Amino acid sequence: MTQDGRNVNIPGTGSTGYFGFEVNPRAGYVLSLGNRFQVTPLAGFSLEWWRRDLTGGLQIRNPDGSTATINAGGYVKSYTAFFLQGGVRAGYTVSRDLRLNAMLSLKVPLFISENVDETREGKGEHTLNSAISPRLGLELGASFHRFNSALTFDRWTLAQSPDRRVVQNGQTLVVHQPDSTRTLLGFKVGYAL
Amino acid sequence: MTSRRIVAALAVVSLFAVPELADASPSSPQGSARSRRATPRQHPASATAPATDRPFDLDVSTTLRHFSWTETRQDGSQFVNESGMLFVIGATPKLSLGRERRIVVETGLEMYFGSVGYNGGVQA
Repeated sequence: MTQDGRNVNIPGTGSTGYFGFEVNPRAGYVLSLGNRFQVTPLAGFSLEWWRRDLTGGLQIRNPDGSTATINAGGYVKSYTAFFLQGGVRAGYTVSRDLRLNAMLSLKVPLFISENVDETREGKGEHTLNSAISPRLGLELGASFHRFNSALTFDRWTLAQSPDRRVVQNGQTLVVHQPDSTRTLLGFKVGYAL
Repeated sequence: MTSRRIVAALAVVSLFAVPELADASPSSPQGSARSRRATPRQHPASATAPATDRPFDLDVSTTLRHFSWTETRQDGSQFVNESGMLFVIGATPKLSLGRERRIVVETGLEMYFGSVGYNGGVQA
């Protein structure tokens, strides 16, 4: 959630819906190092947009042990980030059909925008811009014939955004997006058509 | 006389520039056959071998992704923690260009969706 100057938090649990997409156009050059080893330096851009839906409300626990749903209107955040990216892909050919693959990438955001839509709660919309910080990606896998699989890792901290004044219910608040760290661990399976 | 020297020098240089010709000694039937066909060497590890067999690939994939999102106060304490599994579908069209197909141009496309657990709070 966005953070304002008030330090009183009511803890609660709920669920967050995610929907997003990412586009990574890039180009590189394959270098052969010996019979079986190839290294490909790559460079390009990356665009990611995602929607973070917090409209489900929060379950809080009252002092008497009962639970209640609050903040039922909730809000929706939409993030847009545009990156420069560079990286290197390595491949080791074990046999005619088996190949080991690895990729390391670094993405540097040029632009990060976070749109906070709280109109469900009558608080309007505002936009925050997290500070620039790099994003690291790592992929380790293998391909057999045309099938491939990989373990993927991606970590990115969106650094705290500058403060922004927002009027909510006639009250002026100073809000920001705090340091937010996203960690992705994945298992990918694919097929080359 | 001068032109003979130039032709001789070019012949010597050509032995280094085109190694196949150096193997084409008259005493070697294989070598003379190769020189007549003038085919380049096709060793996979040679610098002239294609980097890939296919000029175009379309890689389709699915990923099961564990997602974690934490928000941290200025004093270092965490006050939002989201985690759960997301589902990802992806496609990467890839072109391998150039005589040796060493220039790679690709676009990774991914779409993800799902719902994760939220552990945080509201300010009041």
